[in-house]
Amino acid sequence: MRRLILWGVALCLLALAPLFLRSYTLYILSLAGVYVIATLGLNLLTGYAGQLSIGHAGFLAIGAYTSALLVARLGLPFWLSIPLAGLLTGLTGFILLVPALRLTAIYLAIATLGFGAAVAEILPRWTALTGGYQGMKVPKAVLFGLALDSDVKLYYLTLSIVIVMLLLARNIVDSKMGRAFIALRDQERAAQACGISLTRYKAYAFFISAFYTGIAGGLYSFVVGYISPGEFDLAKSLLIFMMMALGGMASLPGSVLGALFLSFLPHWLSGFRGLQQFIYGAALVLVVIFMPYGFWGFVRRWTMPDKLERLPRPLRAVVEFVRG
Amino acid sequence: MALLEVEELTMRFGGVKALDGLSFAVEEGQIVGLIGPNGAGKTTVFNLISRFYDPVGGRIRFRGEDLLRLKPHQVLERGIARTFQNLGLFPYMTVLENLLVGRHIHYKAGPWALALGLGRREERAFRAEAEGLLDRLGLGPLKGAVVAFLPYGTRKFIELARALMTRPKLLLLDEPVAGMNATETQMMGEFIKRVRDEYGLTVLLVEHDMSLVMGICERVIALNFGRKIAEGAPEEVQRDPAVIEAYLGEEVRVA
Repeated sequence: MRRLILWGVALCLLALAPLFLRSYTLYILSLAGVYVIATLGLNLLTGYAGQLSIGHAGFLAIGAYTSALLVARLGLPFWLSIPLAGLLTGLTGFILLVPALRLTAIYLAIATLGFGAAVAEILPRWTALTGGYQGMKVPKAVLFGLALDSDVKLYYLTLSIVIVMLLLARNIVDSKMGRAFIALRDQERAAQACGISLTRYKAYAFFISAFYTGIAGGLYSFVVGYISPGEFDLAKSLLIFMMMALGGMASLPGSVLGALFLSFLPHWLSGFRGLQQFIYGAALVLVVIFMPYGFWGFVRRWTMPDKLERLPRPLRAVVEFVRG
Repeated sequence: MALLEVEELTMRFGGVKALDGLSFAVEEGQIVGLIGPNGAGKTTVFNLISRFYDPVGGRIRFRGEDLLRLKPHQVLERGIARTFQNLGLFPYMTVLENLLVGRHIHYKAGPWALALGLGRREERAFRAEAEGLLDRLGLGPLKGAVVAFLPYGTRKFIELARALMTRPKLLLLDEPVAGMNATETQMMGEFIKRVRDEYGLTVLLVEHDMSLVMGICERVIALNFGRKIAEGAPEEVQRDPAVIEAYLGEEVRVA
């Protein structure tokens, strides 16, 4: 009951935010919402199912270009283009399933890195489709005749998609699928002995993760209004990874907090000219040292200390991945 | 026809012959013990039945079906559940969640239904069932506890409970009382017998603790260097010269 009230209050605050926030802040919030969805996707794959990926910018790019091209070239309505971008990107997720069935830990990470790099190389060269290095302008989103042309409208669009994606993720995590992900992450053999097919559940994890990131990409193109290949580089993959690790691995609220924090941090630091990178780096190090369970673990230390152990420490988790 | 038939099973790891033409059968309803010194190949038998390895030669049949044609995750569907020597629990899950993983293959809801939150009723039913099982084990209050922080003996019971949640026909227990004290060992022995009777199970267990093996097993198969050296009623096997030599020989080497 208390949780319901808490969520209700949070939802009201978010719904009323446009009344007291600047248009620019709303834009940053929308962008943060995009990253919340991508981080949820990565967390389901890496935090829950234990499949390390540092190539998610590739999925973000595929989602962004798919939705933009579907609207610009085929004239599809924008509300249809985002789920289609999610589905198509989800299917490309199966590309990574091939290495994931053979490799673990850091070796899988290298394969995902290769995937991200390949997408980043193909995009600018496929000029007929993508417009090359110059990128492409994305048509305005129009929802049943209503043009989503202001930051406020885009904010509400993003907010509603984020809420839907959060609810879906919650359902997945609380179901036998979420438990199967954790099972194959922590004890492959025991998971198999419990009847869990590693192939099937890794496939689900990659599809779902790529689907989420594709939705995020589709939304990204409409929020920003312009996409170019340079935005979907390794730095972006690492950004999504950091959002997940700082927020809390294997934690849905953590994904939200991590994505919000790293989306706003550069703007908070814009006053410190010349020192931005230094403070940014120092902030990350401090968070990792003093919040070993991520932001959500930090919050939960007060709210429910008895359940803290359920969140794997991000650093230890990474070390375990590296060791295999 | 026996429930489980192992014929001429041979397994090699590099140059080491872990199993050398091992044959035995497990009749339905029995509790059968697999004993032998360390390295005799007991756990290898379990891992072959679980399909974690492919044997070099031989056959494993369960209710007449060739097990070697199955993938590891399909073994449970046929009705074979197991526990692990070093515990196969999922440490970051709660006790209740671990038990629910045991029910994994019985869920009917597909992935899309799950994402839309449509599998709730099934989930509640299984949850109630798992809670009932925990209550019967006296572990009810621990259902929300994270497994990683529970004592070892308790975890052994939880792993067995998870195996029971799978509704198995054959239960493979790999050292169910390793590291337990005498009281816990006796409790576990009684529990294994009780579930065999109540659930109509067949149990094949690997164990070094002779008090458990002698206490609950109806038949014992002794292995050494991947071969069967004796088989029969527990008292017979215990008196068998080959078995005594296998064990004493090992102790002399250790000393």
